[in-house]
Amino acid sequence: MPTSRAPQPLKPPELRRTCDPASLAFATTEELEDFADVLGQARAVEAIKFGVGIERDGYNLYAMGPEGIGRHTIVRRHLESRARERETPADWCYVFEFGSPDRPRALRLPAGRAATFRDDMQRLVEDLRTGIPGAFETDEYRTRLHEIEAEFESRHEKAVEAVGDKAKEQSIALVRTPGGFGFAPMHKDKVMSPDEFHALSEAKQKKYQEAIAELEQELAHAIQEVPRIRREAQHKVRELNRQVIGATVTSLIEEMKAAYAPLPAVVDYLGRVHEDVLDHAEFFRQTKEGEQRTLLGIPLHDSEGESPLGRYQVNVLIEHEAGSGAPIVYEDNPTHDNLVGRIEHLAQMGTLVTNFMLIKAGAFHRANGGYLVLDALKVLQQPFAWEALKRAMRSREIRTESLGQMLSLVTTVGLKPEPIAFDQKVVLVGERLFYYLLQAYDPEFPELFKVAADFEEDIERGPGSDALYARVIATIARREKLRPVDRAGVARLIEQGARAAGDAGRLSVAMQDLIDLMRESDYFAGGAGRKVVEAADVDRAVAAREDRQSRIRERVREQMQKGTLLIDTAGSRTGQVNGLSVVQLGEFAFGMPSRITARVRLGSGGVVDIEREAELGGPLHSKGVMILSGFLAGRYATDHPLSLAATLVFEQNYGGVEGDSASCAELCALLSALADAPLAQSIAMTGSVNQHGDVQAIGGVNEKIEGFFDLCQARGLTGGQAVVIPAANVRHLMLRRDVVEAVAAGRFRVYPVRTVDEALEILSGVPAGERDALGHFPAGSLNLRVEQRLATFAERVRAFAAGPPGRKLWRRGKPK
Amino acid sequence: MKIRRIVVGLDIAPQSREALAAAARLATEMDAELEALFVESEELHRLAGLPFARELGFPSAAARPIDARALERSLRAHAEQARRALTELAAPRDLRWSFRVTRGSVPEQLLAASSGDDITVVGLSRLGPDALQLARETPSTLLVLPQGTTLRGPVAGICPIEVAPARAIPLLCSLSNALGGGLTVLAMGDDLAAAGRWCEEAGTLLDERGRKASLEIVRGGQAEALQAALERLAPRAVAIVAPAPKPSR
Repeated sequence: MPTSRAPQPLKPPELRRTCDPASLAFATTEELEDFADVLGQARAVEAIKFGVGIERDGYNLYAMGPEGIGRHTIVRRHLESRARERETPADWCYVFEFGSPDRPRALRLPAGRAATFRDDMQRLVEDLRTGIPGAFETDEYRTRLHEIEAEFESRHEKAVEAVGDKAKEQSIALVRTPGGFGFAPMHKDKVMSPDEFHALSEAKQKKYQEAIAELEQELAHAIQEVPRIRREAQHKVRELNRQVIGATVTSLIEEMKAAYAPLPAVVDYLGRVHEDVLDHAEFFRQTKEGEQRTLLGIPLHDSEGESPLGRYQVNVLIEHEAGSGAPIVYEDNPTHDNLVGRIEHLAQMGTLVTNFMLIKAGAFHRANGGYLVLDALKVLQQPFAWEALKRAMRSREIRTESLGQMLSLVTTVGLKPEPIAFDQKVVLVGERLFYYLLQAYDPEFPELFKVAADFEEDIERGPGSDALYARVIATIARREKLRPVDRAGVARLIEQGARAAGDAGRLSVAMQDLIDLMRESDYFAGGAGRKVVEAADVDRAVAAREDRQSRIRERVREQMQKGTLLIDTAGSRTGQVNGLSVVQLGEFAFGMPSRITARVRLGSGGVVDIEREAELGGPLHSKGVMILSGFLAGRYATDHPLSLAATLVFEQNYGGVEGDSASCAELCALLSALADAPLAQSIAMTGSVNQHGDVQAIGGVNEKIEGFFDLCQARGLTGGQAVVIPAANVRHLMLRRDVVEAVAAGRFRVYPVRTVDEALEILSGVPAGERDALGHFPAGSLNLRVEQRLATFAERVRAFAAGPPGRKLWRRGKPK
Repeated sequence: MKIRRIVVGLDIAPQSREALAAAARLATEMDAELEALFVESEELHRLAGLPFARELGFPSAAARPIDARALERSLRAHAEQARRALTELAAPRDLRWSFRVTRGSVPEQLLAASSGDDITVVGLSRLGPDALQLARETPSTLLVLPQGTTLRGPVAGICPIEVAPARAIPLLCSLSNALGGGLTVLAMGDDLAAAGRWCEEAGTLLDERGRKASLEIVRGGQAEALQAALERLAPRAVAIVAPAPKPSR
């Protein structure tokens, strides 16, 4: 009989690495100082410092890591400290562009000056409104205007009169008619009557008619000159207006120019204002204040930039308080328009109109000269937002245009504001997946986001980190205005941090989870009337959270209890083993046993994975099963074909299965079937296996053990129930306290295994056996039985292949 | 001096409408009767009767034949339009008014219609030969409204110094009140000393009435000086005070 080398079950301390409250040198967290630094994110923090500090194109940041790690908080904290040191960026305004009104002009002013400039312009317009009408009221102006008008009148009348005089010389009168002028022959200073005309000789009549035709042509020529004369007069009037108001306008604008002398762009703009005011003096004489403009009697809503004087207004797009430092803008809703800004419209007489005063700033404008923080997923979800972000970063300018305009969907006349220089650092906060997807699929991404800040999810656990963690807890308690936590409570929170990390040797730094747990613990402490959060409150919060989410887990367990889902926890059976799987439902994960069965027969198909055939198995699961064939052939059938047809199935699995964590259990079931050795049903197994039969680590070990434990506990713990896990997973164990207590009481066990042989021995109670120096398995060993069974299969197949001798002869002897 | 009647001469010219409106204001101001005279131009009728009668449109400069019947209709329409305008102006003012259509030339018909106690109002494109003919011949005070009501100048009152200031000044004050705006009195006379005295007297009268007005002397018979003064003033209306009342016809 071969000797058993089955490993020993784990001791309670190995199942849960507890934190000893005695190791914490405080009574409650009130005694602890705040932890201002970031726990366990040295790499990410360094990357952020680098990314924020380096002032080069393309050095934008992508802060990646899972939700709840505190990426936003950490990024913001670093940005704030840097932003304070930086120069306050310039203010930006949009003003009317006199040359092309549909392209408003952007003006850059030092921080804090935009609003002053706007007010100055407003005052200038008010001054002009009083100054200009005054200039028009002078006698000088009136006289000169009359001169021009009189000249126009006389010129065009004289032109007509000249024709009239010429006509008179030929005894022809120029007569005014309702629609114009007519010519008639005269007799004794009066228009000839028709009778008198008919009395004339034909030759005279003809002469008159010819003369009149000629005069008509001359008159037509004179009349055609009238519009030109009028234009000239208008031009003169305009020139006169310029001269008359020139002094007033020039003195007002020069005064303002002097005030803005250090800003050439503003001075240039004021120069254009000067010219425009001179050209449009009538604006300042029209519409008295308070008098509403109307169109066909319908009042027109005068928007700011719409009235004639509105063109001299200033649209302050962005203003900063001087010395306030660089801005940090987080755009929660990064739609295209919220990023690049909007051009709003007003409904007027059923149409939509717009002007430069309706240009509204977007996040790019607000963050200019500072930092823009965006959620990667949100930007990617918003149509064209990602494109807009990249375009702005690449072209280094902010173009405010609507989506309709950009996609040529709207063809009405709109505004094309002058682009503003894009000068800001963009920080994208997102999950790692998006970072890697963008790296792979967006060629521009690596160029634009050169710095990645990768946030850790957990940190190494040790006495030092426990103390830091305690200070983090203290900081959170104060910031969130929660009750202080006592030493035992902190210990329990640390243990929970390790459990969340899925590793007894590490602590989760998912701050949001910790904050939530502390809030919930605080709630229960309050319910119990305590002033301090204790371990019991933390336990209760953990249990309550689990309980809230465990409806499906309870249902599954109920089905197992009732026998609807067939899971044995006692007895033994050949080719059947309890595998363990984890069900992930949102944030909540729980383990549950699954029955795995194997059947074997003669054949050449190897191992058939029924899950895969039914398309219920994922690729990793299929891979795990294929490894089994490799293991079988490599260990038992090196010199003969593997003449086996085996089927493996996860019984009562209707929803698909993925992962290779059951491959060791599957192998055990298969070997049990081949060796015809029954396996204990009171033991569940998890672990993946390689082609050499080594058992490898899997995930969710705690949930899996607890899943089986819960079922056994419901049916009654016997002491014979156990879970077999990969030895490599022992360091991850952070089991519930009730499991640890049951193990301590000898009512439940957890076995760590390194090889499939160890697992088989535990499950079957039969030694697996090792090859001796001659390469033989010991008699009675499980491996020998498997080898012999496979050899038998191969022998039989060979016999089948040879076939009955008579048949061959008959074939050969068949007459043609 | 009480003005009993305002006679306004209308024709197809666009200035007629303004003349009518000004006359209505004047009649209200002076509590006088308003007589509107729509003159159908005799010359026009004759022109329309000629076989080759054509009209050259203004400002289109397009030639089209004149049809006598169409002209009749057009003139009737103009007259009717003027009558309606007068009704509308008179109703709210409670004016006494009459409206007449005659045929002839505007100056002739006005001369025939007005007397020394009247004010004759006429709208003319400018102070041309028609205005001068009227001014020379009319027995009444003549008010000429040049085209272009946008002019904001004063009312220019041309007054020969033969007319006593006591007669002229109240009349001009009433006129400028009715038309709005300031008043500039142009005293016309050859004798500068007499003109000076006249102005002094007129100034006293104006002061008594609390009116501010400019007084200028223009040498009689110097048409250019008068023309220059008018161009400088850009008056909204020119009133020519009749030298002396003549017996009405």
